[in-house]
Amino acid sequence: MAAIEVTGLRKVYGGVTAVDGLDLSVGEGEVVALLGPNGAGKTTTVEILEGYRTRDAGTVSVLGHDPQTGGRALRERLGIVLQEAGFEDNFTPRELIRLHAGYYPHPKPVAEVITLTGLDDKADARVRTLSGGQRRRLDLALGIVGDPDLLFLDEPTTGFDPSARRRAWDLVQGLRNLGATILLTTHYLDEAEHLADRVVVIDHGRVVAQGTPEELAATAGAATVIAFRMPSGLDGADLPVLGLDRRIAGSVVEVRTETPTVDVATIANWAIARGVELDDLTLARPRLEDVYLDLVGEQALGETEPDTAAPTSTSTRAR
Amino acid sequence: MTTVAAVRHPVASSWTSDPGMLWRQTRHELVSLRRTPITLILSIGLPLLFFVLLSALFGNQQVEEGGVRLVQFLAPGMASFGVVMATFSFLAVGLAEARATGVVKRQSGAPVPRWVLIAGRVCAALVLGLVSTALVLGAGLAFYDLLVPSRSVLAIVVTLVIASACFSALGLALAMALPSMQLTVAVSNGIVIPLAFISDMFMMSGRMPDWLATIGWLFPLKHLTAIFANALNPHLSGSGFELDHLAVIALWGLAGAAVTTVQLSRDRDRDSSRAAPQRTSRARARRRLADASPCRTSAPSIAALVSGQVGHAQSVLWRNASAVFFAVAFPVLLVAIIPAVNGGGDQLMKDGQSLGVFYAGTMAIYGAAVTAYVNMPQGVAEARDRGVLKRTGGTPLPAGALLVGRVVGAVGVALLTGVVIVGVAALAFHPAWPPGLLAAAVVLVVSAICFAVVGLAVMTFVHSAQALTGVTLGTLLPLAFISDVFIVGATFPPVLDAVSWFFPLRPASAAMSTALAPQLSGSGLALGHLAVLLAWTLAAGAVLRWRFSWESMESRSRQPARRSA
Repeated sequence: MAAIEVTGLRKVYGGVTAVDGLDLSVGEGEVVALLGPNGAGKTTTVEILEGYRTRDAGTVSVLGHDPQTGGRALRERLGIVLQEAGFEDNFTPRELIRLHAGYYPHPKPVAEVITLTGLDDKADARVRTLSGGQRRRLDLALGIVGDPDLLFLDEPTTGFDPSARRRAWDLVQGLRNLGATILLTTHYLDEAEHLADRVVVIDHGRVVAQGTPEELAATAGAATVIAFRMPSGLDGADLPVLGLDRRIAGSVVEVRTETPTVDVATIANWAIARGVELDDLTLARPRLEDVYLDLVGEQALGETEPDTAAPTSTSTRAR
Repeated sequence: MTTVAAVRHPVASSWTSDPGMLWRQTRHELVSLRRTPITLILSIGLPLLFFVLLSALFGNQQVEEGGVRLVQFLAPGMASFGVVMATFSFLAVGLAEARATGVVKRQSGAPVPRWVLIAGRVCAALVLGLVSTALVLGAGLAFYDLLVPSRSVLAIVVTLVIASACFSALGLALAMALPSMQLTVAVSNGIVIPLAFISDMFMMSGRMPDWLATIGWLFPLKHLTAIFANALNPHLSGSGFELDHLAVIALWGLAGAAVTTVQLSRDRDRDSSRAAPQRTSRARARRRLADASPCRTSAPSIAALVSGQVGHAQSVLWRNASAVFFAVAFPVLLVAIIPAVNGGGDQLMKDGQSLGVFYAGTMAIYGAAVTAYVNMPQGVAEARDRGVLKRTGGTPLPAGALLVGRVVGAVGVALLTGVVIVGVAALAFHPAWPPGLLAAAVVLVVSAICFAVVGLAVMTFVHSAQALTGVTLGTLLPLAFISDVFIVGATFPPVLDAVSWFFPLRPASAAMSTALAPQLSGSGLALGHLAVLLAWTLAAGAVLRWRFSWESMESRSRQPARRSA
């Protein structure tokens, strides 16, 4: 039986359709990552599954319950790590974990949860003295203390340092090995690649692609990527015809190709003929990131980049 | 680029000149003030409200020949109260909050001079103080025939400015010296309110013991009240400038400025990331040992869930220094002070009740109201603001267990406050043991439950914790004045009288007085009053059931948005 079964889910906020006929199925023991640009409907979908929000249309089943009416019986089997939720910061992590442990029928030992989430050093300090990453670990601790069958992780490692991130990944894999089903949303594609059995890409409230990272690469038609640095003094017009298309970002050239052997030979001969060395020449399988950008378009990336129109904004301010 | 730079420089310099920055900083502080209803209520609303209420109740009494009314002696105290709340308390709490939320840290990374940031706050406080005083005097002039002699107008304004500057310096010094915002709120109120009582603000000097009066003269507040009182005294002549009183105020101000300057120059790292001291009592060690194994292996019963919530609610309340001051220390303090400044707690009232026992009863009710109606819902609203409730909503804990736990937790704090009050009253006044003490405890519990449920119901209509404090304090304090809590035996206009009996506070204090009466009639339970409390509890409970949610209405109907994208 599927742990999560969603068909035709719709949610509208005052005229804006956040989720638009979404279908999703997550098998028991599966780890599924939801990917998508900001505003794609990930958090709305997850919060409907968690029972925080009502749906406007569609059917939803979570561990066999409708989350809108599932109540305590369902909640005893769920673990939820919200994207953004605060703490009563006059309390210590140990106190809060203890408090939450008291809500569940079969909680994990408090000390174990503290160690698992790497909070040993801060377990008895008031929450207000915790750093952002430490708070996020406490979030995670409160989500897993009930030893859930199904765990929702909404951007679980945002703000973690690299080693904390690795530890969180190990923790999630440990839970998965014990049979827990996990649905996570993330902006880190390496996280999805590392943790998820299956990736579901959402945009404009719909599923635009899903499968293992390898399957996604195949369905999206992405090809192998040849990358190198443009030799100084030359530009794109000097290059030979290569591959399916090419991107030039700064001095880095990326060529997508379905015939890597031929194209590598072409570019190598071109370079030898001109007596130049191609720095940083690599041949790579497409990364999830390439697939993702192909699917949701690069404007999603542009939105989050720093303001490139700095001179304009300066002159506006001067006026 | 060159044109941009050429345009930018001259414009920028006029905006970033020091006076320009000071003006903008002041404006910014005033805007932020306008958006913080609780600050406005405490600094402007409260003195005005006290003045209007007291004037309406007593102001028309003619205290001497020639038609001079009591309001003439009420206005100076309330004007001083306004000044001190607008400058001292406002600045202390405002600066502490800005530090706690990291605003000060961010500002200190900007190229604005530090004195501009401080002076901006002080200027805003000055405006606030002037407005507050003007409102009190204006209301007196307009409605209560207050006489403001033209001889002393200049003196009033000059005194006001000097006093505002001095109280500002003291407020800043306090905020700089204390480590956290909650502590600053508690300490600043802990200083102002008792001082107000011994500084002639509520006109009690005539009956105050000498030693208390002497203590009053050591602090600047009483001197300010004295200057205003003499300036408004229709029998005196002269310009109203009182250099001796002003000198005391100025000395305090200089001391405050010195402390502030020293603290500023020390420029300590005030990041609050100091780890809490690790306490290793045996009980703690035992509980930590228990953490090593699961705390249960079956679904928790509702009783276990509720009792866990009661304990948690108690911790929430006791760890908030400001809440503890207002709900526990303040009523206890008033039990000691009010009877003392009114001629002693062993004085008998008309019905044979001693003043000390009477105030012990009403202060227990008042403490219960502050804990259950103001502080507890405030804690829940803060949890809602921060998303703590949302997270709890995702756990198996039923909403009912959480709410019942909070209500019972508040009742526990109210009962403890009551016990401390009884202890203080017994030590201070040695009254005869009231026969209806058990009935009084019942009244206290019923009242606290009622206040708590009503407070939670009110919370469901208010979108933020900050706004909630404005609403709850803004309703509780005026009601306290017309509900025989602070003032007793006043006669009210019929409408006000009806209003006071409609809301639960007056029935609660009346039921308490009945229970504590020296001649107990029956069980001591005033069933009529208790029925009013029960009706409020049921109605508010229904509202709570209908409207309670883990998130505020606002965030439920909105698409989830990343605040930090």
